[in-house]
Amino acid sequence: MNPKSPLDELFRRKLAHYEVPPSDDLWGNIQLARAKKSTPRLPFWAPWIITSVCLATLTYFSQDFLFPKQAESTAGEEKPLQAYFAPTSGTEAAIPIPSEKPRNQSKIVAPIFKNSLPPQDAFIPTNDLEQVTNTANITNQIVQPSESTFTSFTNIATIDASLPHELSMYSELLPVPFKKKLWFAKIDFLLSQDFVHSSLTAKTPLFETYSTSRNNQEDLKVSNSLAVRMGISTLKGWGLRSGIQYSRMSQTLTLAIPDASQRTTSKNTFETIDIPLILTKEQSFGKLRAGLSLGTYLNMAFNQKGSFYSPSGTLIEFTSSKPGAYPAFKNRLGASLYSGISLSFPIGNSLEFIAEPYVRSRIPSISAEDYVLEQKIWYGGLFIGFRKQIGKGFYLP
Amino acid sequence: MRYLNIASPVEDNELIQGCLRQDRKYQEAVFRRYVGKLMVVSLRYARHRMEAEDILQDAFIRIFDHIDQFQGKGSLEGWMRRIVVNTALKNIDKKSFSNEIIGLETTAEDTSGALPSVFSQLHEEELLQLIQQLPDGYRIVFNMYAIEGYSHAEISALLGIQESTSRSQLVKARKMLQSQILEIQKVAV
Repeated sequence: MNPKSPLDELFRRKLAHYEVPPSDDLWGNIQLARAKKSTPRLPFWAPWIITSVCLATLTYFSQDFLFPKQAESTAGEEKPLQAYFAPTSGTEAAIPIPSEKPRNQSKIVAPIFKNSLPPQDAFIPTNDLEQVTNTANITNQIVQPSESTFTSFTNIATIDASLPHELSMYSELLPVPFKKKLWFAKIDFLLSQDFVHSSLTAKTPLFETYSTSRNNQEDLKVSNSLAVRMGISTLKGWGLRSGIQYSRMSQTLTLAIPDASQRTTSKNTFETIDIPLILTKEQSFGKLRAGLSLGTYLNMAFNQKGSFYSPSGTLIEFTSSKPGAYPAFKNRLGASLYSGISLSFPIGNSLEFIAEPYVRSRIPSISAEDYVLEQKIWYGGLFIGFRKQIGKGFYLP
Repeated sequence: MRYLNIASPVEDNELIQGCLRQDRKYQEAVFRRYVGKLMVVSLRYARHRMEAEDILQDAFIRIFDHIDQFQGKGSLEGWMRRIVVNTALKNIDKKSFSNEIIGLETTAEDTSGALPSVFSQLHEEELLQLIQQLPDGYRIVFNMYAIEGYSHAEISALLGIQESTSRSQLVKARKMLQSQILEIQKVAV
């Protein structure tokens, strides 16, 4: 108790029950301020969603710019592939394409560029190559996927069938060892903004009130991540990716002891470096490729900076790099589970735009072993970025 | 719009329940019941009336936003007073506590032991004005120590200053108040 001073007592006694009316418009101002505050604002992740949708839309429509409209068959029907290899003169013969079984013509649109190449030049989009190569009735010796978006069959249609040895001139195009599986190497550059949910559980009933208070104060955090992933994938869409990811989770807490008598603001940050190991399966839907990604993240480092209230109401700093700071968290977090849905559009030569919404859960607690609370976290967010194919593909030995 | 009749014996608990439902009638009832006393708290920390109303506005927004954190361990009025004080302290410049008043005795000796009887004849409004005329650092420490009842250790933790600074600011505040009151007395005589 403070020592009594007559002067202090005078002020305390006289002002204890004294009242001063505020201005008439104070209540109206409070209502107005609260109404403004409660006006729904866009959630923090909305700009990312909007940007992604805009980029995806732009990407989709830019296809017409990058790759001009392709001519459909004149009768409005798709022609059999063989029709595109028709000889252009009487002295030339088309290379026969066996077709023991009727092929699914709707899958392959063998388009011809208008006004750019002679009509006998046939092209098959790369996206359709998989369907071509997967179709048993297409001769493997004809179609080879290459780096270019469109594989030209120019001149093939004019090869003299009587000179089969001249096919060796086209060895770059023709002999493809399809018995081996063709793999593609790709690299992803990704950025994400995520929200992080954490839950704190008391290890003993004594700290249940404390865990409730901390849960109320520390529910939502915002995280940004930067990832580079290298991966290999097959024509059938199976892939394996790994790389490195840096995440920085930040939170601004208004810390309060339970009766709200003391408040302070703390800006806490948590940084993680993880190595992802992800298995993917993708499928083409026209130009869009959609896929499922499942895997694990192996944490390599976990650094923290900031403070929170202790159960006794004192402010505690837990900055991991500061000597003497309270060791409330682990330095390494082990493994977490990852699942995502990847969507990609081709936007250029061997380049794709990627959007990948994901969720990730941290399996073990992030709290130190002897800390009174057990804290678990879950991430959810959206990766956006680019995927670049490296080279033309390769065959594993 | 129909207002809740706050003259009727509505318990604080009922008001709190109404505020928890974000019922504007109950919020206004809480406002009207306590705003006079809280305005005095705000005026004690502010330099002028306009600043006091700004503090009070922010404080009431916090009160209605965080009414769920009131656990009923003390009185609703006490909890609201603490929020008004915390709101007032939010924007304090720490430099306020290092400013010295030239010409004012800086020894740590407390000379407020005995008060002339005229002191008790001062009106509340005059006392409030005297507090408002104190420099920022003096005013805040005097309010927290003399009226709110915080200890120097608590003041130092809440304001992020040293305990010795809190003590010296209090002594200076008391001396300044005494000299101002004596000035009033001289003028009155």
